[in-house]
Amino acid sequence: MINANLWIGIFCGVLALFIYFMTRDLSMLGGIYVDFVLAAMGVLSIVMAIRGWMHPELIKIFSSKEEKNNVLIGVVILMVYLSILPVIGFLAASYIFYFCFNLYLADDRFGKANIVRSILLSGVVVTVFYVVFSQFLEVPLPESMWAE
Amino acid sequence: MKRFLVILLVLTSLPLLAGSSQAEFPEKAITYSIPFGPGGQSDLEARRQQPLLEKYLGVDVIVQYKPGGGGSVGWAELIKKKPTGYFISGINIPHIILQPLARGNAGYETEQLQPIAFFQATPIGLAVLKDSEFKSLSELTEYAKQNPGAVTCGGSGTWSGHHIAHLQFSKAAGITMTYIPESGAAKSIASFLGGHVQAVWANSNDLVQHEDKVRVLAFGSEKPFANMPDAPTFKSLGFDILASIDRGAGAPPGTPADRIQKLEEAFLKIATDPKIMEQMKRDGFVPLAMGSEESKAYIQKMRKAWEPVVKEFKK
Amino acid sequence: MLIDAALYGLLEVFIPSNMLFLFVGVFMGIVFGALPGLTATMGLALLVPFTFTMSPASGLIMLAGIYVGAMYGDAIPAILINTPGTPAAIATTFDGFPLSQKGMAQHALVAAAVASAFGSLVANLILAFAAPPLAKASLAFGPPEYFWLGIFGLTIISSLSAESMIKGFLAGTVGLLLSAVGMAPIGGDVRLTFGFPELQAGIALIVALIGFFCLPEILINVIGQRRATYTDKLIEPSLSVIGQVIKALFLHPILVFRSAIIGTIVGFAPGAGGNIASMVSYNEAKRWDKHPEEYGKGTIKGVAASEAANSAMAPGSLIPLLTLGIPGSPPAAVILGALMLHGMRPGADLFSIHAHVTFAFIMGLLVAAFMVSLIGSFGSFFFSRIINIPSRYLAPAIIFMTVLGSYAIRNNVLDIWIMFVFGIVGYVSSKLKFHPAPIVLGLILGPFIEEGLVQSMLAGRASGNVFAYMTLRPISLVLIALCVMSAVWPFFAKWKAVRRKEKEEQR
Repeated sequence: MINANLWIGIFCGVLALFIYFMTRDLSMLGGIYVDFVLAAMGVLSIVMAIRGWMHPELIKIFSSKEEKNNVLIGVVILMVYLSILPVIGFLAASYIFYFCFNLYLADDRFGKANIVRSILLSGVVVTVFYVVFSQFLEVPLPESMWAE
Repeated sequence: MKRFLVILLVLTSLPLLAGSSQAEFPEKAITYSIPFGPGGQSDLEARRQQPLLEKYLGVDVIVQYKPGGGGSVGWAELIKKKPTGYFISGINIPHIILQPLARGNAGYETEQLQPIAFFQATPIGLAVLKDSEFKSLSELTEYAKQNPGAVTCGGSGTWSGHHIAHLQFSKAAGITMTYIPESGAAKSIASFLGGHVQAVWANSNDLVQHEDKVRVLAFGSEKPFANMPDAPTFKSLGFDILASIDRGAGAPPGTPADRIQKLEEAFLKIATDPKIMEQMKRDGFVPLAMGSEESKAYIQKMRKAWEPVVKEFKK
Repeated sequence: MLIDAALYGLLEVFIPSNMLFLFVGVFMGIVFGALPGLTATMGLALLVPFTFTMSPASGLIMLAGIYVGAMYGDAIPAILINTPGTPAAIATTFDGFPLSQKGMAQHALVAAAVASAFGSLVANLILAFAAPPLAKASLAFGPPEYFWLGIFGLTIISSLSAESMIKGFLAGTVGLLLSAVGMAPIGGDVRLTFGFPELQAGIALIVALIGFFCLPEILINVIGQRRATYTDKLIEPSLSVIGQVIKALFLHPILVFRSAIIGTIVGFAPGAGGNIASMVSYNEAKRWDKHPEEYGKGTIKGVAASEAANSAMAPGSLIPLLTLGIPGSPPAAVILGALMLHGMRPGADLFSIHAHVTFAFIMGLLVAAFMVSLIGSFGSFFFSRIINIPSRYLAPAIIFMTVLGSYAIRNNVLDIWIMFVFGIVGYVSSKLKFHPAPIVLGLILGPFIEEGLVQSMLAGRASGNVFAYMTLRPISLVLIALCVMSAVWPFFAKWKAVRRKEKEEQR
């Protein structure tokens, strides 16, 4: 359980301070707006923190351990997908991602039928979108770093 | 759609071609990156060239956008691409010169961009509304001398062609005026027509488009601007100022000379096409056909002229 | 004369080949609008080379189709998966997605289509018959007006975040700060790029939208709680829904009409665009409704208000374009280019020498609006079934599309990572009951406020008095009054509610 308002207030306050020190080299014209926003943000985050301290509102981020694991694994799969994207190219990375994610979300994770189904689906779905985007809509997609 | 058909055709005819002599550059699609958003002048120019480039080069040309930072994001990408000639980008003067000068970290250096050709010039003019009290440039400078900072001049962007022209002119005339930048030429014209600024630095095509409402006090071109021959140039009024937005195409550093030459030929062929030149003139542009070497020299020359101005006004 | 030209334009549209172009255009527009990361502007730019080979009228009719189609298309993902296809449809998610959750996706889709068509219709009539005087009014918008428009937009936060206003405004400032990333519009400083040259371009709105709206939804429900489908109830589309929705909307003529007018007005202020239009219109719909508590929980009124406004914005942004040659939105800029390439210079000529082509274009927009309502209504059978697909198949496809979309908007790999980071932030913040809508609103309004503020200061200083320059102007005064009213309103509404309760208790 965490005190949501207090933490939001503290987080935004720290963020405002950090940005304040990051932006001291701006020219007069480029800095006016940033200073105004930071001032507003500072005041609001202090009010927020005080409010959270006076009237704590306790919130649980994950309702169960299972949920926490689910989300963390999901996020890791996503991060792997994004990391390999520029390396092996959009098409290959997406085939792998769709396949893995489909397996991960299924109940009978490593059943033979499930694996076959996931492979087929990933092939069809990814290929269709790839062709539509890159050929019909002429959207260039990231290629593998080894492609010329 | 068309590309899809072409691919089908190529695939079906592949066995026939196999075994024929080694293909010359270009043998596959060329990506033509535009460092601005769709709908800008650079995009429209590329769209106009696209079918002709495909015709002359014999391969597909794919126009893609890489907007942001007034072009710098696209050029920062360009210099990181493999120098094969298959990835080229639109390049604009003065942007490619001023950005590395004015920002410590534009993501590229001017010399890293290899110009292929420049095909379009857009002289920058200083204009007021038709009903303005300023009938000539000298009236404006006279007023500005007596009321330092009171004259507001619109323009597009900071450290852009408009801004640098403003600084150069203010310095040469010994006056102070307030420069109010807008993000984009369209907004700056709107603000000017609405009377929110007293004068505007604008591209010739925008001035031609609003011909009936504006009086151009001076153009930053070498020769009088063909669409408005009566408007004086800064040169003719005694100011040594050349202000223009020039559009061209460039390749990553280290692109082989023979490939640059192939591309240069295609671009110049389009630039000297009488029909295209006619269209450009009608819309208020000055057609240009500057090859790779000539462009390099031109970039060097303009850089020399602008470097001290940026240094002086950038604190 | 005007009527003649209008009729001639209509005839031109009804030529079979032109009808076909229009249909293809509308269809493509819906696709471009519906895929997050692809925009109407891209669709238009892609087609410009094709229109070279067509007659000016046919080319423009096709472009009209794309523009109108895209303005509806963006509602589809907003309703189904809580991800606006373009930023203009943010407000559509507020009620559209809750409706889907209740198993009423088809209602929302039909409401969006019908309201879109109606908004488009009203705005087109205004465009056809009252463009020149309105164009003059649009020029009256200067720096102070943009600043106050931005501030007025921020006051919407107070009604968006009913439970805690401080939280809402704090989120708003986070959004305003995010908008400062990249090049300063005035001053040219490179701000907060943390060493990534790509960040000079700033944070793309659609990337933030996908991150804040789409990813958290998947993380919470599909990944975290393993919900088998996106909705609690399976959706069973039926013909009778179309009739029901149309009837329900006809019972609220003022709502739709007001939204259309708001959309047109915001559209013709150059550069304001549909993002603000739909938000302002949603906010006003909620403010003036007898049952404001229904909004945000799934009411077709909310969907209709947002969609009518953003569709009306499209013709609205063409008013300054066609009469003055000033594009009011990025898609309008592409249309300007197409006009120029066909040798037609916007301005007085368009309504005299080229009146036939101009009216063919305007009538194209109008007929496209009807096509949208037809395609949207009957397409709803197909679209609404999409979310019946089990999440385990749908979610990876959606994630994959969001990655594609975040990349496609600017061909930038860094944008995918930004989307991802915002997704995580959005997940945590929605768990902490910190709604992301004000963040996005801040991101949208930031540039207006910054440019308006700094330009006003420059111009004000030149004129001698900054404060007077920023306030003593007719439109500014109206906008300031609106800001004050909007800021006070929540307290007024609370007071009213308390009084009503007291009265009921007395009885």
